[in-house]
Amino acid sequence: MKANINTDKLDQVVKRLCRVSEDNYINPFSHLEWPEELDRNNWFTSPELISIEGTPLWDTLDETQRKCLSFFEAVGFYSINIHGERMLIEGLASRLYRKDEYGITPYLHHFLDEENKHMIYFGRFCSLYANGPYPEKKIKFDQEYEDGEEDFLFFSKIMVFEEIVDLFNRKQGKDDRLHPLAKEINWLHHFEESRHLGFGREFVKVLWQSYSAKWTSESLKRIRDTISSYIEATWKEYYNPSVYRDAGLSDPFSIRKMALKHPKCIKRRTEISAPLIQFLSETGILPNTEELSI
Amino acid sequence: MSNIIRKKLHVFILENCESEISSISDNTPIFESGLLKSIQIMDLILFVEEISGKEVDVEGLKPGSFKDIDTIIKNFVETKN
Repeated sequence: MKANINTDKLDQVVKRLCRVSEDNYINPFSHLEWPEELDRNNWFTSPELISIEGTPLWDTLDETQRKCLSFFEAVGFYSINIHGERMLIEGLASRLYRKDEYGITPYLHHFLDEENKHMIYFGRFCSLYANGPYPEKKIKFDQEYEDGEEDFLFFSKIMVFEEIVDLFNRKQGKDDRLHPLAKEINWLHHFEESRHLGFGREFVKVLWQSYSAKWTSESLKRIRDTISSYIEATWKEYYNPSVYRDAGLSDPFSIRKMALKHPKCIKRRTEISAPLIQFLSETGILPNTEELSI
Repeated sequence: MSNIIRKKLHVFILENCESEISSISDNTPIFESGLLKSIQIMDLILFVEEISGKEVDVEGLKPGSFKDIDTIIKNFVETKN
């Protein structure tokens, strides 16, 4: 049973975001131009966001190798988005028109529509210019939940995934060094995701206030551990051995291990995660953020 | 070959589990007993790929495919592809 809390702000957010989504409707099939072939002598990921940038290995690569890696990192990034958004769409669809949905269904329709469009952009890029998206290396485990826990974890995970992704999109959507198609995909994603982020934070806050006081200390610990682990696991997906292999780098599994613990890479992850961590700390969802392993 | 991989799996699980144990058997449930958390499945899959030299196709797989070391060896090492 959820607590009675004031959802006026959430109601306003839902109304405003529905209006903005309607006013900015984009046709995903005609909005972008897809050349038959891509000139690979371009950046497809901002160099500063490439997973091994700043490591000794990065220093050994010439510009052609770096640009090649930037292409496969883009395919890896788009694959992460495809798998994350598929999970999101499945979860959102199952929450439409539920009795306890807090009046969010009108916005869930836009959310679903926009996430489907993003998957079209990302999927088309991976299919046209690479061998399709990289497969997801995850399996779903069955779990029993306390009242409200499943919804809270679902929307919290979505928030974590989207906040990290959006920082990449925001930077790359403005990066003139990128191939125009890569720049535009990132910009489009950011343009619509920024609305999802506003909704995500507000709804996670409402769910936390509704249920957290009723959860046992044991459940709270489990929920907090799950979110912390999810942040760590989300970041690990950005270090994909298949990306390194396709870019022609040898010993891709060792590269992944090296980059995950390299101080420059940890610093980048920490900086990108900072606004998210601040939100989780301020809301009380993760009170001990200094213990987080990112 | 399988024995080397078996040993490497033992070491990987012991290094990555939070419990303070020094050994496990080939039949100890990996996730069910809490040795590894479900969120660590990606690390385990990538490790299996690394030591077996084969890509793991996760589509259609269930957590039971990684039940214990014996099951992993049977599913992902002693298979033809």
